[in-house]
Amino acid sequence: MSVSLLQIEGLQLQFRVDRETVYALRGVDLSVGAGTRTAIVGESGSGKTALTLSLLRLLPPNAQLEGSVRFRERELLTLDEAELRQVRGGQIAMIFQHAQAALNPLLPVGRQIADVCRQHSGVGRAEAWERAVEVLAATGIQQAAARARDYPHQYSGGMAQRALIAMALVCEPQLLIADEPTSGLDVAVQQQVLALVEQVVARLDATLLLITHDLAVVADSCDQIIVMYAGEVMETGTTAQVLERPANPYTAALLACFEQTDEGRMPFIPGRTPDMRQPLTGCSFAGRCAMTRDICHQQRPEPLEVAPGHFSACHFAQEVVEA
Amino acid sequence: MAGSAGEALLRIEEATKSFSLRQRGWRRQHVVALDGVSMTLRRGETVGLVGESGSGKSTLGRCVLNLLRLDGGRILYRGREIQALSEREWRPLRRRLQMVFQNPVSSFNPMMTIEEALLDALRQVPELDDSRRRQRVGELLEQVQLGARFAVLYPYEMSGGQLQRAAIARALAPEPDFIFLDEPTANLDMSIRGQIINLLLDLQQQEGGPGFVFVTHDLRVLRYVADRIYVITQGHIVESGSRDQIFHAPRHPWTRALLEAASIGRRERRRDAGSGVDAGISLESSARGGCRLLARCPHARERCAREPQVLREIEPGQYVRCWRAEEID
Repeated sequence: MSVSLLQIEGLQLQFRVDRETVYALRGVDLSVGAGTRTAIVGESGSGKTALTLSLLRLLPPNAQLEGSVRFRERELLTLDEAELRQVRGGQIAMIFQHAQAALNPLLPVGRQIADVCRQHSGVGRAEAWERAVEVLAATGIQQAAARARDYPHQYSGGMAQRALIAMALVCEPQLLIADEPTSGLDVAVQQQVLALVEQVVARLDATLLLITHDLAVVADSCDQIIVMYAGEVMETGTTAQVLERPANPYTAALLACFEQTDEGRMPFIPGRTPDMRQPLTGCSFAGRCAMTRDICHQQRPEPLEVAPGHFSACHFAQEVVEA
Repeated sequence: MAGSAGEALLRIEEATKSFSLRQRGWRRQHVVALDGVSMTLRRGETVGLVGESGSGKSTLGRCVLNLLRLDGGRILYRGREIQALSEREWRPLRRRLQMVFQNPVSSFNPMMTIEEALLDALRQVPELDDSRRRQRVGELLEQVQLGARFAVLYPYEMSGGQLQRAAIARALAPEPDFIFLDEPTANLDMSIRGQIINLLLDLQQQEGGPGFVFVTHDLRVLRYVADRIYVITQGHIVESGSRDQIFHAPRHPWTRALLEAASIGRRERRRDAGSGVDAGISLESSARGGCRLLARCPHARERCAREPQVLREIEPGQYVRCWRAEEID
């Protein structure tokens, strides 16, 4: 595996809600190699968005964050606001889920991109505007000079997503985080947006962290996969390792749900996700897993390396991968 | 479409519906939601309707339930044109056409228990007395595999999948002839969609059960439940056929794009998908005279811009709106 760009250790995120505690991340350890295209896959409530927001500390006041996040050997969790602002958008850029909502409705799109550019590279107003038009054109928006003066409501969903990609592109970040960048877009546009994200990442020689619930998206966009469930990392490995020889029962069960057959019934995972208000003693998937034994309820599984670079947090990882 | 007209429970003929957005000076802007949509639902059949957001599928549902009036075309329920019925004639029929919505949480009254919600729906069945209604609540909950213990729960106490099953129980309560399912799995995680799909499979087995129109943007789920599938985009049906025809021999480029997007590792073609495709082209600027999908189609030819496309039968029972359907492979 390549040199680590992002190193996360023991990351815990809790929210205080009405005298109760919600455990959103329960001790996440992971590493993202420089130049990789890494997917974080998980279902709603798995903590995938919480994780990325934690990296940039874009969290509400009731959040408690512990652990360590090192980006190019620099600890992010102890940075002050001013230092953090340089990292956000500058070295780490993010493309959010709902592009229309991520843009300011009161400012022309080009102006918003230019502002980001000025903030991070210190160029003048006129030059920043030129750069904004340039990146808009680079993301495939036609007549970019004219469209830069338009407001977000004049953009279609696909165009708004392109504008956000342009905004991420303008600062030439080393890490690009894309959080469900295709949700709400129609299929033709989805494929274009994904292709564009890949193109931008290749052009900048950047690292991609793609957050998604859709394994179909992951299969050909990413080379590394991190599977999350209930605030924990269940499995990590290359795309081929995880999709072809899953070593965690959760991954295997989820993959089965995506398979298509002409006969019979649709696979599903029985039960429901654990109560995030309770601390966990055993494995978070124990309540729904077909292989559960006593130890699963008593002891939290540590990640086991079943093949070089392929880790699974399951007491029986070896059995699963051989099955 | 032809042949079995006698058995048709529901027939939609050339339905059109547009909404006016706002008036600008002398001109009024229109959005065409349905543009000559025809479809048939036979008794006990499950028909899938696949389309993106904005393709017109929810508008169609609301017209079928007589919640919206068509601009043109007809909707026939058991041979009667529903939009021509008076309120008095329509009222007894209304309970026969039910709907299940995308978001199960917002489709329940948060102040009512599941039992109260179901009793409310059962009030439409005049032949039942109070004690029979209570009994029916238990039966309905069993039928959707929830069990009577859920009767006393409030919506916030249940998961999305459980609540969606309760919504199906509520739709079944007035003994409908068909249920319009509007994206019933879209708000559910992939790992629990199977619960809803398998429940529908069980309901399909029941003698004299209702027919279903299953609206979704995700073709995967239709593979399990649909007898026939219609593919709709921009208010147009672009392809229709049996489940096997749509999944194994799709002929329209749009259907193929939908199938590719839904499957793992079938998207090699995306790498060169930049060809002739641009997301920035709006509905209005798409060639008015030609194919609506011109701007998005990698197979577009000059002829596509000139001629409006018509739905034609390419195989028995399979209809495609594309003149190149036979050539592209």
